[in-house]
Amino acid sequence: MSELVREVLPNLSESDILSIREQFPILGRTVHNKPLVFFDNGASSQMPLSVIERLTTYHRFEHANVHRGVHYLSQSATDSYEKVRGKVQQFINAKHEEEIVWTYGTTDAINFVAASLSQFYFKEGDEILLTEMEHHANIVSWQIHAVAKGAKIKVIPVLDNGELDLDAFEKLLTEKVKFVSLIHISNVLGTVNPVEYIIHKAHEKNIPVLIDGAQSAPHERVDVQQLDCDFFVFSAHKVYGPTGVGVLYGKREWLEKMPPVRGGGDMIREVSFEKTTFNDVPHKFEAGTPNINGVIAFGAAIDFIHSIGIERIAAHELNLLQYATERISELEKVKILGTASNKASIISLIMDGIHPHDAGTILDLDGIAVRTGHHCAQPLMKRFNLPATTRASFAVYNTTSEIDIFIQSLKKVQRILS
Amino acid sequence: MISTELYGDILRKHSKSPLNYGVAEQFDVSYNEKSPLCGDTVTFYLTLNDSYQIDSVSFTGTGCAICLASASILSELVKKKSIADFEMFFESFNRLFSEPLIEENSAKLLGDLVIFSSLKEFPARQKCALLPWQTLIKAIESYKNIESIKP
Repeated sequence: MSELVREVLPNLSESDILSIREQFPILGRTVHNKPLVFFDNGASSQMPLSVIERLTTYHRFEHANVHRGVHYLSQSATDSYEKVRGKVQQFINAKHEEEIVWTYGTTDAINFVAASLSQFYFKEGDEILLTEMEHHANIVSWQIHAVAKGAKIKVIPVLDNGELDLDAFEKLLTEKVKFVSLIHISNVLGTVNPVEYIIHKAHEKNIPVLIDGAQSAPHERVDVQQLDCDFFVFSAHKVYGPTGVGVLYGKREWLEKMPPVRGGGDMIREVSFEKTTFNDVPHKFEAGTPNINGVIAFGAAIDFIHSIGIERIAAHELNLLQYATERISELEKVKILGTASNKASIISLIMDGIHPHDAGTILDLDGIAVRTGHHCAQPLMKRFNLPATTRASFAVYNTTSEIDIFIQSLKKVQRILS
Repeated sequence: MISTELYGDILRKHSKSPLNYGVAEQFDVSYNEKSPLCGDTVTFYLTLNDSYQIDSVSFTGTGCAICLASASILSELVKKKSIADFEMFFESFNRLFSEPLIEENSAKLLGDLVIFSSLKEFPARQKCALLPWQTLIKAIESYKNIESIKP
C-alpha cells in the first residue's frame, strides 16, 4: 500500500463509518439472535442500498435487451449499460475504453484468457509461471487450456512469512517462459505481491503478465497503466457490486490479437454459413445477452466507492488490519498465517488444536461470519501443511467494535474446544 | 444456549479423547476415506466373525471435533453388533438431520449420537458427522467383497 494514501485524504471517522453502515441494510440483521458481524468479504462483499435500488429501478422502469434495438427502452438500456464500461476504465485507469471486456467474474476472465491464448499463443514446451499462493481459478484454467497444448506450469514458491521468493522467481524467468500469471493480493495470506517489479522483470524478456486483482480492486487504487500489466481481472461482487459480473482488462494490442472463445450474437459483423466476421474489441468477446442489470448495478457500486474514495477505504481497512493483528497477538495459541511486510485486510488464523470448521461454527453462533477451509488454494495449504484456516476479511463497513466481538468469540472457541 | 448443545460435554469428551482410537494390530479389513472438501480423513479397522458380527473396531484420523466425536461414538456403538444392526443405526442417524423430533426408539438406539440432531441447523457440518459412517460402510463393503471371492 503506497504512502500516498495517508498524505492526501483525511481518514474516515467513526461517524463516517456509521453512516456508511446505514447504507447496508443487511448489517442491521441478526444471525442466531446475535448482530451480524460480516467478516467474509473476501468471498463476497455486501451491496449498499444505492446499488440495490439501481437494480430495482432498472427493472421497474428501464429494462430491455441491449442489442441496439430502435425502440426507446432498448436504446436507453444500451446507453446505461455502455456508460459503465467508461466508469470501469476510469476506475482502473485503462488507456482505452475498449480495453474493458465484460466477463461473468474473475474466474471466467482468467479462463477466457487461458482459452483464447491457447488457441494461438502457447506451444509445446512453453512455460507459464504461476505462484504457490494462487487461487484455483489461476491454476486450473491454465491446466485445462494451456497444458492441453503442451505448455508446462512452473511455480514461484512462497516463503514462510507469506511473501514470494523473488530469487526463485528470477531463476524461473527463463527464455522458455511465455506467460506469467499471478495473484495481486493473496486471499489467504493477505500478502500484497510486488507486481510492478515482477511485471517489469517479465517485460524485460517480453513476457506478458496477467494480474488476478480479485482481492486488490476492493482494497487499493488500481492503475493498470502504472502497473503496466497486460491483463488485469477482478469481480464486481467483491467491490460492493452484484455477482455475475467481472472485468477483464487487456492491453488493446493483446485483445486485438486474441480469438473469441464464445460465439453468438453481438460479437459478430456478418454471419453466413460460409464465413463469419467478428466485431471489434471488446464486443468481439461478449457473445449473447450480457448481464445487463449486473453491469448497470456495478456502475452504481463504482459510484458508491467514489463517494467515499478508494484511498480512504484502503486506509480504514489498514487500520482494521492493524487493530485486529494487535488484538489477536494478545491471544495465546493463535497464529496469523502470513506476516508479509505489505498486507491487506485479510487475516487467516491457525488455532492450536482447534479445527477451523469447529471455530467457524462457534463463531457463527455468535453472529460472526468468517470463512473456514482451503479458500480455493489447496497448493498453498499443502505448502504450509494445513488442512484449512479460519479467515476474517474486512470491508469499508467493518469496525473495531466488531473486531472486539470477534476476539471475545475466539476466546470462547478456545474455552469450548481446547 | 445452542452452543452448549452442539459443542457440549459429550462432543468435547469424544473429540478430545476418542474411544477405540488407534491402528489395530490385527484386523480383517481397513478402509480410509478423505473428505475432498475439508481434508478430514478417517480410517476404520475391523475384525468380523463368521456370523458377520463386528468383533473389534478401531479408527484413526484427523479432522474437526464433529468428525472425531462421531467416529468415537460410532465405534463404541457397533462393537459386538451385527452388520444388520449397523445398517439400522445408519438409517436412524440420517433421520436425525431431517426429522423435527427424535423418536423415542431412535433415541434409545442411538444413545449419545442424538447430540448430532443439532446439525439440522448446520447442514454444512452434516458431512463432517457422516464421514466416519461412510468410511465404515465402505469398510464393510470391502470386507464383503473379500469374503465373496474367497474359495
